[in-house]
Amino acid sequence: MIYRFRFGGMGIAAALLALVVSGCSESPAESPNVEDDTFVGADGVAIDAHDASRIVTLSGDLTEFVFELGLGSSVVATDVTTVAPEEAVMLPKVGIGRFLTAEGVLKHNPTLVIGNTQTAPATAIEQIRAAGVPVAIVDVPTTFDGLYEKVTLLGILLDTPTTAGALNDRLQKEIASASVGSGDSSTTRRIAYVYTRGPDVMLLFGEGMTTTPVIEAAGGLDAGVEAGVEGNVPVTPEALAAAAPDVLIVPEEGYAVLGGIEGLLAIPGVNATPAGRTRAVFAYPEGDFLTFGPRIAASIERLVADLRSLPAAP
Amino acid sequence: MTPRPSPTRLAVWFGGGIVLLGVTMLGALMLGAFSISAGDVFRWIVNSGSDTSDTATYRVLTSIRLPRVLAAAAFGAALGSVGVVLQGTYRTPLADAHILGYSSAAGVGAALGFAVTPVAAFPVVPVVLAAAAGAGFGIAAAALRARAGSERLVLAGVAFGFAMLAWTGLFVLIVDSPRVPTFMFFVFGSLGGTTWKTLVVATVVLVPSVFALWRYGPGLDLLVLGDREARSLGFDTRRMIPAVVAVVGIVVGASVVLGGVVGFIGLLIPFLLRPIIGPRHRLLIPAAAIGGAIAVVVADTLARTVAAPSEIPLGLITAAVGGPFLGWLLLKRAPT
Repeated sequence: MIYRFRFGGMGIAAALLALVVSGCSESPAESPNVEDDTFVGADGVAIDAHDASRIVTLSGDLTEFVFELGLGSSVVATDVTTVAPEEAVMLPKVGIGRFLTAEGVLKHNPTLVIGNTQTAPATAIEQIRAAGVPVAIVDVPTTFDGLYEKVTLLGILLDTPTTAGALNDRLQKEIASASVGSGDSSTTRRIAYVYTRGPDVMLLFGEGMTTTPVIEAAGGLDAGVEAGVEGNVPVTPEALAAAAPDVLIVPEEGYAVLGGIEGLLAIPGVNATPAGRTRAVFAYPEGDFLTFGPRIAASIERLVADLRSLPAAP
Repeated sequence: MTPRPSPTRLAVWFGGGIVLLGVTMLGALMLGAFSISAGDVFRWIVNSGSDTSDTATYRVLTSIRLPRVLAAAAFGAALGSVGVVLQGTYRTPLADAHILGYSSAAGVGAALGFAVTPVAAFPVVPVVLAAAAGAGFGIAAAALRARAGSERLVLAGVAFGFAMLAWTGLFVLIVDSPRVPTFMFFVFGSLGGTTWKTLVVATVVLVPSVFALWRYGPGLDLLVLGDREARSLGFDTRRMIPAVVAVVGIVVGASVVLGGVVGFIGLLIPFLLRPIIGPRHRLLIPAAAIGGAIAVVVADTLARTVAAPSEIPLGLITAAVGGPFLGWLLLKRAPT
């Protein structure tokens, strides 16, 4: 993967890239145990009888869920991918969850650190644990069921199972009401998610990324998945032609760096796609569309509304 | 030739070096993203961690910062002493584990070893494979040494080094495992992942190996005169050289697992010390070990404090500072 060549600590650019990797994590050695009362992380490490008075979160969606579960006031630091809620954005940052340093986390004197299977390097997690601070590792789900499991697991970890259950009920309802039913063909388009941070990094998302369930819930077909992309691949004219999307979704941040629609159309192959010809490009903030957080239903709603505003398919 | 310095002057230099190393290490213990004061460090030394061992400060100090500072010293000592030995063996001040390809060769072994070793385990397999790769590379280079001059051997080392780096890069990309460090580790190094386990395994290999290199000191002194001259004085160079570079490979292997691939220390420190210490390897090797240790402890402290809470790769610091410094020294000093 391209991001492996980037080194940590060089700012937001790397942080944004950190959001890309949804489909790239290794599958966990053991599936998390959600039945039991004990938290067992995706890395198989159990956490029991801990003190959740000072929490550091290492991914934006985790920050949002900890706030949703009522422990927002215990969060003392987050990583730079945290974009909501507002109180969390103001908190000190430990750097980037993908390029962690142990001391950067420990300086906040946490009693509990929550990361996911994309938190790296593994040695930093090891060092934080060696310093006596528990590190809870959760999976990065790429389905809605996985999302509910993650919430349940966080409920066990934070000792708020009832709130987690209520949150799951709410999420389920919101996602169901935002989703487009199978009888409705008004939003049926071939949609490709292209991750970009500028001309140097352009990745087409496919199977196993967090974007697919959102696209499908909105009634679309994931063009990357249809074209047989697994995880993500660097965008090439051939890959785009094979995917032949009617609509492109790009991160707002990278879209601005490219210089909007003109910059995007200048990328070889983009203007040969139906989406490029009709200029059907949606730019959404990364923190809203890429992470499987509690605001996921709003992302679906927004995509549905944007799809319905397009001229009727030819 | 540089005149042989007097024993008193040498004692002052060595004593001063050891004191300076102690001071830099103490300073390094106090600096970092997590705030630890000088008082904390001294209290910890006085109490030996007895009554205060459970606070966050002491846990960070003992489980993260102390192993890291010790690892920086061990890493620097290894790079410095290996630089001296390679320069003696290849008979050129251009020789260094990084330039000659030893580090990259060891990097291939380390990457393979990391891929099969769980993060929390003792990194025995990475050290063994890296040392084997480094030693194998050294023996192959020694076999070619008889035929090629040192200049061609340096060039060949550069070529093999780049190829090996590319293979490491491909391997890291394909494996894409959280167990394997990023490609940056194999290009610019980092001591960020140091744990007591890594330090212990690497030290167990480093200490006897560097001692073995030191034992070869008189032979290395004679080698400067030329292979034939050394042989006529009773040293079996055909046996000694492969042994020396194999041990060099082992030292480089253990150091790569500890801190990755870092350049310039092995070039700069010996170059700096030769005029002060003189040409004798029994003195130069320990001197370069102390000098290398000081340099890496300082560089690593900068690496982890300049951009805290993030880190700058160690090799960027050594190259950014060491490169111009070495260039300046080279241009300043009259040709010999």
